[in-house]
Amino acid sequence: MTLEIKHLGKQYGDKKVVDDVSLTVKAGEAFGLLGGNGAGKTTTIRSVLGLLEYNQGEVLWDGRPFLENRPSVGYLPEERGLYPKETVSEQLTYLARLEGMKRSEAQKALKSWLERLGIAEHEQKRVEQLSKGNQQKVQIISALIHNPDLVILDEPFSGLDPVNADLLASVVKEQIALGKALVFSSHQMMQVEQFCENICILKRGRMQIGGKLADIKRSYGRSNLILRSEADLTPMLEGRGLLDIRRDAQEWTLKVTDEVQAHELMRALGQAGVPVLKFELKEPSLHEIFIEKVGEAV
Amino acid sequence: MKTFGIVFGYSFKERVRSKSFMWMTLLLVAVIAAIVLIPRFTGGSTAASGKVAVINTSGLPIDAKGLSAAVSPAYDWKVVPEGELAAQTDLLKKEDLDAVVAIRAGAEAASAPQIELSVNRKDDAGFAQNLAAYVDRLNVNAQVGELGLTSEQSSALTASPAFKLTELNADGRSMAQTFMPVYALLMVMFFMIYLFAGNVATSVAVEKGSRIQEILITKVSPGQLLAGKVMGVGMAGILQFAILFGVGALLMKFGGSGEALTIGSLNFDLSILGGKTLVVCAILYVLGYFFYATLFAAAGSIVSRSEELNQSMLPVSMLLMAAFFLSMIVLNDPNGTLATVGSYIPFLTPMVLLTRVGAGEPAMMEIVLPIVILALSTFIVGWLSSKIYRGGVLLYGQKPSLGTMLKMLGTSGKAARPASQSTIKGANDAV
Repeated sequence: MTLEIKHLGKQYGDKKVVDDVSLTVKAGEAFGLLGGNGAGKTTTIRSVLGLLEYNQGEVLWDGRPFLENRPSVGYLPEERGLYPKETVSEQLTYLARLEGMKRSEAQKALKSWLERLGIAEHEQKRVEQLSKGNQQKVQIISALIHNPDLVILDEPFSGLDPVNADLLASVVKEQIALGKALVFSSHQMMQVEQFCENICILKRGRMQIGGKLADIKRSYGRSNLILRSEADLTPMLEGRGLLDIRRDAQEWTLKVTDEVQAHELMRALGQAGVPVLKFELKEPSLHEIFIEKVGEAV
Repeated sequence: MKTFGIVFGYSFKERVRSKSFMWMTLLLVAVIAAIVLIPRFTGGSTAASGKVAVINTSGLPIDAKGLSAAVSPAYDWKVVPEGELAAQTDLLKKEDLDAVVAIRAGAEAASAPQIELSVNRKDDAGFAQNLAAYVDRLNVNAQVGELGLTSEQSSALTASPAFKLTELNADGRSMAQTFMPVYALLMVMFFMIYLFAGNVATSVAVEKGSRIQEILITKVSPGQLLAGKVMGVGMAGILQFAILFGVGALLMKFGGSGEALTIGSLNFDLSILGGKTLVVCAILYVLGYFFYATLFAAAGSIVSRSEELNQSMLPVSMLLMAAFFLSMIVLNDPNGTLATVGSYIPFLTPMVLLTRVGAGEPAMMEIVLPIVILALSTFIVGWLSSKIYRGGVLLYGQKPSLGTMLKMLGTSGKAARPASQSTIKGANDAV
């Protein structure tokens, strides 16, 4: 079970909103589709699902055109959508049945999902009566109730408090473990780093960077240095060509051009007899990579 | 096809369980009950009948039998002696009588008799004209008798003109006969199409406005979604119609006054709506509904929020209203050129053809051909609407207009995938 997008292009008039995007999502893997607002994430997702016609490229599922060999899809759109006046049970059963589930199966699955997400008592309430967070849970159930092969989650964490975000994180991990192919679009880089093996970052419809997250990070080198000391390190750090020196209480973060420079600094600190409690050389976080790739020319 | 069934069932259930459906059904049942039953209950107490005391001092041969036969059989006439005038007037004041009539001889010799009619309300004096004519005739007879003419002379004087009504087009329907039933059918058709087809538009706009559309479209093709919705809501309409028809028929059978209904002074002779009219009517209702429902659905699909719905429904509503008004106009001349031509124009067909069948005499082909044209156009309109719908349901932030609709027709026809489906690679990557 593999989703492949090859050289996907979509334009409105002369404006290219998606330009030559290629990516592969395998079963049991979460793919992070990242980008700023208006980068083309949602357009890409809609093109994949056949909600929009695209102008170039192709979308394949298991090597065959997606719309001819359509898998069962669980879709959580960015703009949430439910029938506000219908009960939770009524509309989730309806949506599940549209995916080929029998009514009894759908009701059984519904019960277990409602329990899993802790909203069993709201089964017979109308969606408009629920809080935003609970509506979000209902929306998530609507995407997963029919046990889809391909799960596409557009900003799944928005609107959830930390407790519920953790709950959803466990659900997402479970879906990955169940062997689903998962496309994950988010602005929250923490979550993407937590789940996604492969990512791509879009900017104005073009892929800025793509591939294995670990490889991408490695390609940036370990350029982030974190130091912790009870002494004042600032005089020691200045005048060495180190960049972006920032101090938070007893911690200093800074950028080194390469690891050699970092090792030289450590030696210098040792020779000066400054007591260092922490010395950590790190790859850039996805957050930083994102800012660099998307933020530079905005 | 399976998803169509699920959408159909859901749309049907949603409509039938809605509050507006329930209230509309109850309201219409109440209206029908009122139309059928009120004339029956009020009929006995209005001016059409009652008790009348007659005091006759004119010397003319007036008796209760004659009054009943010549003036009005609905009243209970009693001739009372002159001395009771005051007593009878008291009874009238107490509403125990409906009228007191005093007929006296003329003041001068050979002058006409005087009639004094006392009632509590003018409404109760409906028989006044007949009474005057009756007294006049008796008076003429009496005067003629006094002249001592021969029987030929007297009969020549008092003879009434011979009156013979000949209906040249014996099978034809008179305006008076057909107007009300056909008018009622047209009204019902207009409201049923407007309400139910309008419901389709609302339902589409709600799905779009609540953004559930985007999820639905990944599960069901737009064509099936549209068809399921249109048919589900249509079936709810048929159910409502059946309820109303059933209640109406029951009330007519057990509580009404036969096949003729009277509302105010208007007569409904429902018997003219024979089998053929009802069959054609049913076909036209169904086709008319589908024709307009798919158009309304297209209108609903181009709005971003349900508040904009009225604006986008307007062009379609205008077509529907044009059909309604034209059918009213041609009701006067259901066999004329306007009616005949109109019945072939698909968006006018449902109502204009109904007028023609109900009030005119179209030939068989003149009924079948417009229906075939309407059926074909319904398919074409359905197809075009599903194209607009397909493009419209995911389009937000556009001003709803005819222009948007046309743009949808132009851009959304192609399948949502590029023309070239190149070689299949990557199948080996599948896990």
